[in-house]
Amino acid sequence: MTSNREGDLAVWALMGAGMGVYWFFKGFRELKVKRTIQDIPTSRIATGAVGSLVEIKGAIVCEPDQLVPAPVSGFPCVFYSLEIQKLVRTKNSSYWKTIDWIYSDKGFRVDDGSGADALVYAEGAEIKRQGDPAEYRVNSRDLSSMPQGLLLVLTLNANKLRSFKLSGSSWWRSEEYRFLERCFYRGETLYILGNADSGIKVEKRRKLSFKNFLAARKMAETDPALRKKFDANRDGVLDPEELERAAKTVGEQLQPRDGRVEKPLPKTKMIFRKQDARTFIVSNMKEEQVVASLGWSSSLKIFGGPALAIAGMAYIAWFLRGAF
Amino acid sequence: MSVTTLAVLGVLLFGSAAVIGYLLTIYNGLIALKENIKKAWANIDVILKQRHDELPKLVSVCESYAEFEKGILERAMKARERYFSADTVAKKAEASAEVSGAIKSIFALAENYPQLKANENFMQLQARISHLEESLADRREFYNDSVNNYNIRIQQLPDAIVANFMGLKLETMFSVAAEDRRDVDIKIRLPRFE
Repeated sequence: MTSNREGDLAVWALMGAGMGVYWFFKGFRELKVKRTIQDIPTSRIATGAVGSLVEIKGAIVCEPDQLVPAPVSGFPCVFYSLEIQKLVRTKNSSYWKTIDWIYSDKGFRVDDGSGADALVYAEGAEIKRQGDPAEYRVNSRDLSSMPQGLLLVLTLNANKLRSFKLSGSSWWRSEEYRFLERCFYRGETLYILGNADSGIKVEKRRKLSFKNFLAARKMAETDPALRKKFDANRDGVLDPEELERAAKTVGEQLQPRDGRVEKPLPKTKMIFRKQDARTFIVSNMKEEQVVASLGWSSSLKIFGGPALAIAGMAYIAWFLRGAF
Repeated sequence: MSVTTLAVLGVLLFGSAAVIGYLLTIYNGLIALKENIKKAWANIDVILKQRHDELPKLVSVCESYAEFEKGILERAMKARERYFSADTVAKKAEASAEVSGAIKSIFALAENYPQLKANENFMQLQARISHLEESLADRREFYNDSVNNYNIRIQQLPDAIVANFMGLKLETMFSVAAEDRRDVDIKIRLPRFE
């Protein structure tokens, strides 16, 4: 008969084995990113070609009135990311689990002295900063005591948050939350690697609002030219399907351009943003430092991961020695 | 199965997976480097084509000034033709350097022709070609950096083993011709003071 402690250790060993395998593969991904950084030369913003994986280095330029206050520290910055973590308690230990992310949605400009600048939307980027992030901890029963800036950001982004609720958790149990803030400041020199657009296709359309849909439908019903255009079966009347198609097509033309995307200035030659699963790194570290940190991290995972996995599996084998 | 056997099997399994993973990372990295060079060259080619499209216009504007040195204009056009008929990167680079040299000479000589210098078309073409030359210089630097990274990788261990297996060869850089490095010889016509 095995003791409870051995049983707990077996669960940990199983989790460790799984984590080890995950680290092993993650280590190779980091190694690939490290080599990519080393292999891609730095482009000058004014004359460099846009496309996938463009590397630039430059200083953040911003007018003082465009700065935003960081939610936790309150410092004026050009960009912040807020990682929301929840303390998960197990029988013998506890750990912080990331449950949500909030990013400032304004882009910022980076100038490399080539006579042009790049507009960067760092949302979703892998942000690498030197030093620890600013931190704030709070209990779910005490959310109203949070700094005003943090409370405001959480309120404004309430509809984007998947797990964190400003209303707190249930009355019978409290949760511990931690907010980690990472910012970029005016004048800071950044290293950026990611997909760069030329700025022509930056304006995106918003999702068709119900109000515009109704307005477009009315237009399609009353305008003879539109009626004729969308009358696919030529029976003289717009069927419900034809009317819906007409409303969608006309409605899209009525839509205002997405206000979140700033109109690029004539000086802006490159626009960086997260696209699919492609690499997008924004860091205030030097390229060599980013490479070095990835080198250490990947080596640790490639060697440490299997060690953990083997140790975990060995323990499970020992634990189950009498079962079969 | 004993714990020791399992541990040995685990080490062998992860060991072989690590070796295969590492070789694959190197292989994919080398392919990416090779493609980066092609892309960098394609980005140069775009600029070169734009410059060569502007060249006939520049020659035509200069030709309208009867006394303008015909030899330089002919040299520029011949170099342009050579660029279009070149089939390798090295030949294209050589022809491109000749065009650059000829353009430099045209602009330098234009200093002697105040009317030509004041011609609006000429000024526009000069600004456009100068901008293209600047872009070209930056992209050439980018191309050479890409080639340099690739050449270093395929000669360094352990990448050299994989590169040898793949049959990869050293690439040549887009170097500036000796002619392009030389100062332009300008005969300045100084006004006579009597």
